[in-house]
Amino acid sequence: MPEIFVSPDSSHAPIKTGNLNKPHPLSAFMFMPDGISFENQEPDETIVLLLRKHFITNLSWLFISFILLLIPITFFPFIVINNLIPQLPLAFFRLVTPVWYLFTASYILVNFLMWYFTISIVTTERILDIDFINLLNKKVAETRLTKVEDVTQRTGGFMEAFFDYGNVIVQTAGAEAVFLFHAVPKPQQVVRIINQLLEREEEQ
Amino acid sequence: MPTDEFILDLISKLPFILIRIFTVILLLMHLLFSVVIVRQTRILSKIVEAKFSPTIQLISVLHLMASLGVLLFTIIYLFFLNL
Repeated sequence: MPEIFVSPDSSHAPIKTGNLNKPHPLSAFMFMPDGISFENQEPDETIVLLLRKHFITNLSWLFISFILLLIPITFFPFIVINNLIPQLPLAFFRLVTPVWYLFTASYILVNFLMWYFTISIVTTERILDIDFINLLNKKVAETRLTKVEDVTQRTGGFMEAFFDYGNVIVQTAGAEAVFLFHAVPKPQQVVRIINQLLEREEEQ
Repeated sequence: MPTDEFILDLISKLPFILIRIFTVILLLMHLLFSVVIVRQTRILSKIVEAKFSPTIQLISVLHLMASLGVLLFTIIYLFFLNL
């Protein structure tokens, strides 16, 4: 374990790493993850945190996807059996079903990719924020730890409290004034780790 | 008159002709969209490299193939089976 993660303040509990080095590939909170690197990573630079939105934030689109998947096996037969649209031949529904499933698959894939690739990375040297705004627009921002001025966390609401996730706001003196880690798991732990990294930077 | 019959026949078939054309255009746009997904997935996998990245790329390629498959199926179904 690198020395930087031992807090000089004894009131802070040590960070439990456990099996966090080999997290699930779809984990939203990765501490010192193995087998992950990023573009322009320096040789002596280590990824300390890799964060995504908490998986529970995917619940809304997962629910919609479930409904969309059910429609061809419930609603389409209902239309055909009751002859609700007599103008449409039965052959039309045979065509619509694969098209429907294709568009549903696209909906699922795009939402998954947007969740998977919207990540925040904290390294021993800097902070990176990759926002996959939509399919065609992405934003990659980074700042050195030396430019970080303040780190705060903001949680609120039943879901955030129950599943322990929230926003972490990193204010910097750089061009990108604010880095927002949106709905990340364990925000208190994230703030503590970043603060420990900042203390180390100051000592150096 | 034969011309009137032709026009009436065309008017009766016009909604289905439009549906066929619209469906194919929609699926062509979807194919383009699938290509963009594959491209973006490759770019983003290079920005952050993980062991899971090849799987994500494979999924996006399978999605592209599915899009192409459904487009071909639709063209055959609508224009060659004469439904």
